[in-house]
Amino acid sequence: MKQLFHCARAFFIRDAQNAVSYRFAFVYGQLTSIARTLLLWLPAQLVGNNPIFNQHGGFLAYSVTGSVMMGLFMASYGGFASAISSERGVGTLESVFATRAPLSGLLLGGSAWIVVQSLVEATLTLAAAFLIFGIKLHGSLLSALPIIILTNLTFVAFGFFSAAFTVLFKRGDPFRLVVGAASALLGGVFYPADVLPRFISWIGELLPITHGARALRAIVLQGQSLGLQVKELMILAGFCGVLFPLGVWAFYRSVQLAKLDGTLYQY
Amino acid sequence: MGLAVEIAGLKKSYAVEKSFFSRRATFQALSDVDLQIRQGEIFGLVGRNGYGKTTLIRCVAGLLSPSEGTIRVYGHDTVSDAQEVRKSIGWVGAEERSFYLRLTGRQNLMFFSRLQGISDHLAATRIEQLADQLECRPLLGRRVHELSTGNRQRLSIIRGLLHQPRMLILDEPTRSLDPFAADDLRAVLTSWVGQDRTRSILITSHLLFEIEAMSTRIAIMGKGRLGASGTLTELRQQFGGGQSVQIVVQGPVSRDALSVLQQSGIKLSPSDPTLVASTDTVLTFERMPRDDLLSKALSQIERLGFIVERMSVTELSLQEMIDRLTRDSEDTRAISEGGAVTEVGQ
Repeated sequence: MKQLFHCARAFFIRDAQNAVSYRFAFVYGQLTSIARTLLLWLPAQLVGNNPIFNQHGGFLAYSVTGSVMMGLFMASYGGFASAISSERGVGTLESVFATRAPLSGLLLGGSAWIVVQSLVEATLTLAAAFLIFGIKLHGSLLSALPIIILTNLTFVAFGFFSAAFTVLFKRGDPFRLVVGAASALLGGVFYPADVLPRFISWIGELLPITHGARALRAIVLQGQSLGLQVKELMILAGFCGVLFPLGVWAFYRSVQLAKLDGTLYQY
Repeated sequence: MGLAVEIAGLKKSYAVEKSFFSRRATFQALSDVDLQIRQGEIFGLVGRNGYGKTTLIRCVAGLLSPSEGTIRVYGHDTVSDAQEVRKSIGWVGAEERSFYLRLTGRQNLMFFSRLQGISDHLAATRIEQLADQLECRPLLGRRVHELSTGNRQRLSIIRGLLHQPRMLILDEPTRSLDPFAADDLRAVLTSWVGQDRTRSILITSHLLFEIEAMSTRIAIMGKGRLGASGTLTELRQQFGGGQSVQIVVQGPVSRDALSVLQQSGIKLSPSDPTLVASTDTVLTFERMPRDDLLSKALSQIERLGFIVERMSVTELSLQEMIDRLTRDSEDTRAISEGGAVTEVGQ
């Protein structure tokens, strides 16, 4: 456990130092999180007071919370695979694998900065929506934190599959397209999945983002307590319980195969 | 003395992409390698490009898994006990870009220290000490992308030593260093092994004088197999143990005089000696240690009335041994052009 902590800390500090070394990109990234709200404010003016968004405080509030979840998904799902790909390209992967750090440490560490960064960006987006565009928050973000973390962990577990794919095939990840597109279109990110035909809307229930976004909105926009979200919490925990060990196994196996194949360090 | 590395029946093959639709072929990089490296040893690995040196040391470091066979490092299996193996090993690879270019030397080294489980305080002290030993303390505060290849190589060596491994594996460590820095590094490495009899070094290099000077034992790779191994003296014996003798005599030597020498059992190579600066003649022949050819040659030369200008006796060099091993390989060409590719079931 201590070793895992060492790894996570090592990667976090390295990634933070690296991120800050690109000063403009670092500031730009934070501004983008705020600008995301502006991009949603414009269509909100067109949508107006559509009744399907009423219980969530309007389109802006609905889509901002949805885009926060989608942002977490994009960062956590793709981040680790991109990190592996980048380490390969830069040429540092071999040196990292030559250390005594366990693979689980590399997984946890490689994801640490991405998860924290995406949480900060999510907070900035919500804060901008609240402070600048006046969406009404009826519950605290702190109460929604377990939901956000659990959803994010599920996304990270998906990310392990993506990383395993990257280890074996280097480029091109069909899961990203399938899961990403399905999450954006069927996960209730910008509109409730109920508006879709029944034969397709049920797919949304199989996606973690649907449950994460639903619980987040219930707590933050409708002021419900975390206790009322037990069902969503259980579903997310179920996703996590199944996907996390499977994702870790897939990554371990991909590294084993790539070491055997001699392709682990090839770009 | 215990063993640092035990390799038994090692085979390593790579999948090869033959075409866009097929990768069902294998490249046999290593075949039936058996090798033991003792604790306290500096073990040199030499051979031509593409003969499997880097693959072999990557397997020992646990960076690649063997296709067949076993490798044990200080008693730990490189596959089933990989983490223990990595604790024992300091890896100094040949990859020039093994650092994060935007971070400083110190930030990079601290990162790798943390991955090795070293506390920040201890790591900072060790980094300073090692940087002093390698005379590169000013590099620590500079971003890696500002550093020359040679200076990155110094950082790489510090990284390899940070966690105080029992074994260092170095892939062409002095490749990018200037001659003075390379000398310093060789001294640091030799002294590092000397400080603790359980330590050992596995080193590859194309600088054969470096391998000859540093190594306790040497292995020569020939087309994915160990062609020969032993101390330099043992290797020379394996290759016949010959010495090359060069005697430079003043003035030209007549054919009659040459035939007198050859009748004494001295086989000149070439049989028609060359003239040096159009005046002196170089007589070259091979002898075995402790035979009487050298004294025979000198007495005949004196009897014939020639004056010896200078003379040298040199041992068979590593390069000559590698060359002989290469020439002895029947399919050298296949290896140098990418190795033997074997079709597997379609």
